[in-house]
Amino acid sequence: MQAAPLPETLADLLGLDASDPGVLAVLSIVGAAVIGTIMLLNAALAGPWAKRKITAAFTDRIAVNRHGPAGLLIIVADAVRLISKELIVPDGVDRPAWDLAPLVIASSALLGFAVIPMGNGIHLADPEAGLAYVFAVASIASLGLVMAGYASNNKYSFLGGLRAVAQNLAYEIPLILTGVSVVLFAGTLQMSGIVEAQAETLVSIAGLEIPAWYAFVNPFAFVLFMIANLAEVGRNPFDIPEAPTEIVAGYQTEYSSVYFVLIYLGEFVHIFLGGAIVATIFLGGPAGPVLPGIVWFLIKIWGVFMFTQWARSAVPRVRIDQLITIGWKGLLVLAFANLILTAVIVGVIV
Amino acid sequence: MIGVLKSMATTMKHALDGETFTVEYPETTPEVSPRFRGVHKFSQERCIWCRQCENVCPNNTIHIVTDDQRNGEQYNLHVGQCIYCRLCEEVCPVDAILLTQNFEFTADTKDDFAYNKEQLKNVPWYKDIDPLESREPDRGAWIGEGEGEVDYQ
Repeated sequence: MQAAPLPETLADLLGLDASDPGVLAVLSIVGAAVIGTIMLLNAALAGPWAKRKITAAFTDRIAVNRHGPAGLLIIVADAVRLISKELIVPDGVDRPAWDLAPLVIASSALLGFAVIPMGNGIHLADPEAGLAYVFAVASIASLGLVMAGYASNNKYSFLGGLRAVAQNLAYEIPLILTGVSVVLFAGTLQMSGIVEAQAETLVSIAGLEIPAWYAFVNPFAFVLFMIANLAEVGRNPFDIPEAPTEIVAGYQTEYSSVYFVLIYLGEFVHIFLGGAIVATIFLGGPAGPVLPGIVWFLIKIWGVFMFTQWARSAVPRVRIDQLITIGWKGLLVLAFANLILTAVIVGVIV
Repeated sequence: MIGVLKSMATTMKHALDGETFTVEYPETTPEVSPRFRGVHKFSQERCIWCRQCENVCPNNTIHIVTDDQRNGEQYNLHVGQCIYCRLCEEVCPVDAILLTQNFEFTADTKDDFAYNKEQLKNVPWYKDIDPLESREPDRGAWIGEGEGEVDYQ
């Protein structure tokens, strides 16, 4: 059964007429606020707190633990600290682009969640070109990075922006090609269709039914997608646009105060969007036993987030030329091979 | 590629065993090696004012003032400037200056770290660790005590 998009679910709950365009518009805004709040809460938990705790666990340290239970109140402290800082505007910045860049970075990642089915009817819209839409809005973030880097009037930021373009060009293609192999299996771009296609049982071993998640059906594509996703969200070992030890802090060097918060938040929302795409097209979306769908969905997203932190602690950063080599000569070739293999399997066997 | 997988396995192993190398400092104090070099402790009873420590100090951390009879008046040591090379302790013929395991010293300004004779005498031991005991093998040659042959250099 296809889950109803969130505005219609809300209309049913409140006993309103969902066919009225005015009601639908208001409920759409409410639904967007609900989904935005869920994702921003997760990003707020991940950015100042979970990231420190996870990295500390990987490096045998104790992280934040002074403020509140397990240091959770560090989120409040960090928020107050960052927001109370002075907003410094350097000389000679290209003001419109410089002001817009944090907004573009933060909002592009949030836009993607509009079509992600999160289970329990939390699904804002379900267009037929869902997957294409997600990939399209996720890559707007690189436009924000370039805007930030170019407008900052700072050669380190400019370098960071250029590296962001190089990286996003190199890794977007393998990412989408791997996504296309999933579309070949599912036969649809619609997010709910892809989730539904994964609901069948793949094999049944000793009474345990393994669902046909594409991570099990095509593990090769899953690994490729996870690697390309790391590069796409700019995390280690592919955090070349920031590269704190090489180019200061890349595109965000000149940003302070609330603008910095927006960029930082945008990065984390972007990681969660990457996780949401992985969860939807490879891990069966909100499917899972016992617990409600939204819980399973968040668990899967956090699993991907943990993976990015794991890679961050374990793998050293690659050089810019190595990054380009891996992207164009490694991942792209493997992604094409995977696509052809999938096409052959889908066309000949299935 | 194998190396990447190995490093990921290693980090995950460390994350899962739950051990930490860091401690929550004020509640649990860290274990310090007996050979760790912390703040100096000075003994006026032992000191013969030979000024060897002042001479051997590589960055003029120790400053000794004597009167014209060569009786000691002041013994100043800037613990903030010291590089903890332990040369002063090694050169002292009478164990008058010792580097304790104590690292717990704070100050509001850099000048507060210029310790005089009284402050150096009152530096506490850290966790009853006897620094002399742990460094005995090194010291036997210098002070001619201990089990073995006396070495007069």
